[in-house]
Amino acid sequence: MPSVDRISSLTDGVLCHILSFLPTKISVATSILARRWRFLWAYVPSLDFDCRNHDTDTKFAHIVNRVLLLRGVQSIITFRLRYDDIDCSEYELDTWIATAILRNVQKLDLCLAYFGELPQCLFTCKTLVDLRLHFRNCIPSNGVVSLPSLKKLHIYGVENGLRRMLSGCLVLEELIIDQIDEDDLDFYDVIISSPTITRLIMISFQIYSDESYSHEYGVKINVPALRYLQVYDCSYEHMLLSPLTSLIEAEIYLNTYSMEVDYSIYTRCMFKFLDSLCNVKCLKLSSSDEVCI
Amino acid sequence: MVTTDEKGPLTAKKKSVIIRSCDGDEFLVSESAAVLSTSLKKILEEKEDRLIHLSDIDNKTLAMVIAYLSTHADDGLSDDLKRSFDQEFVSGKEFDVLKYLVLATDTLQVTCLCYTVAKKMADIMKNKLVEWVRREFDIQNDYTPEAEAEIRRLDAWAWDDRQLEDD
Repeated sequence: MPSVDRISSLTDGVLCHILSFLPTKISVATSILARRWRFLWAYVPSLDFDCRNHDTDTKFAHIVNRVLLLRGVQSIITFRLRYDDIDCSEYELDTWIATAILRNVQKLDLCLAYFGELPQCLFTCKTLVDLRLHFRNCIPSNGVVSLPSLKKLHIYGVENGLRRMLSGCLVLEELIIDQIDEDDLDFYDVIISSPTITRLIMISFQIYSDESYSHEYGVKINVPALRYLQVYDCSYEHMLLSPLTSLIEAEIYLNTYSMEVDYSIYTRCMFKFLDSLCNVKCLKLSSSDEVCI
Repeated sequence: MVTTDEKGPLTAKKKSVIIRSCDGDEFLVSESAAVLSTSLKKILEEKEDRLIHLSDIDNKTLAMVIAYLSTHADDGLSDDLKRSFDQEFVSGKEFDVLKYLVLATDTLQVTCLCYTVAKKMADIMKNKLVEWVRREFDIQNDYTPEAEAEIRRLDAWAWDDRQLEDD
């Protein structure tokens, strides 16, 4: 092996790259290593705050403010924030998110207990590539959506704004929708439509209703470029899939048979759903209960 | 003696380059694998010579990087197989080995591997003690005890759950 000296010549850039995979808290803790490391964390391009990891007297909000103020570089590539405290200030949250947006953030991951409305600048951010919003009612009811670089969107729950949101994401490739339930959607008006999405993952897409089997479908899905589909624990009887001619792989988890509904109708809906996957090259089916196929 | 058809257009697809490590070992690598490194690609564009000498990468590290490049240049392997190769590539490797790898991938500009290795190093660093990190990174603590105490007082929140804490 070459001499040890070469390792101590790891550039600040490489060290910051390594630190970028650590939570900001640990990154700041490296300041104790030596003088060279005192403010190295201020040059790390990603920020990752989790209020669950803080139990000191210093208020979480003060910590976030300190880290943001001491940054040595303009850009923030990744901004991850988990703030479960329901007493968190909307004003502070708005400031932090807007700061990340103004610093050309590419990956934004927010998990908040409560939030009024996200800053409008988030929905017109030109640099966002990956957006994860882990809380309800995350899409504002009105306003322009234009996310020209967004490739990956992960949302919890879906509202009427989804259709508008998708229409503003012209290069979106992957959509993950998690934990949807009836309370959050206008039942007959959920449309997932995008000409560019190639990966779609839907988790716990449950719609409880004792009517409507012969009525309109609850969720219309029109994603003609789709190559990968994963559906986990969803109400297939309420879904209408447009033809998926490009589909290569699908993973379907069947466990939604509810005693409230007529079994024959349920299986018919299931067949119809599976029928729409007829071009798929690799289909994985799994089930938790005795669903007969 | 090199036969003429080896450089001829008919065999262009199977061009190879020789890469020499700082300790003199030579590796025959297909050009399609070599150009996955941005630095090697630039060198190959600039000079005719098919021998590249890397003065700061040792043979063991270079062999690992080349194994990675060759796997990723193999059109016969699916993306899934390449992904699982990447995961296995860094698993179980000593921190010391990863340090040389991250340096080599940074020099050679192999972005994907640099990312994978840096991430693995960060994973290992979690829950390690200050002295461990100093030792592994070969860091001399040049703080005075007073200065170190002052930092600990100011940013006390950064050490409150004993991550990167003292012994």
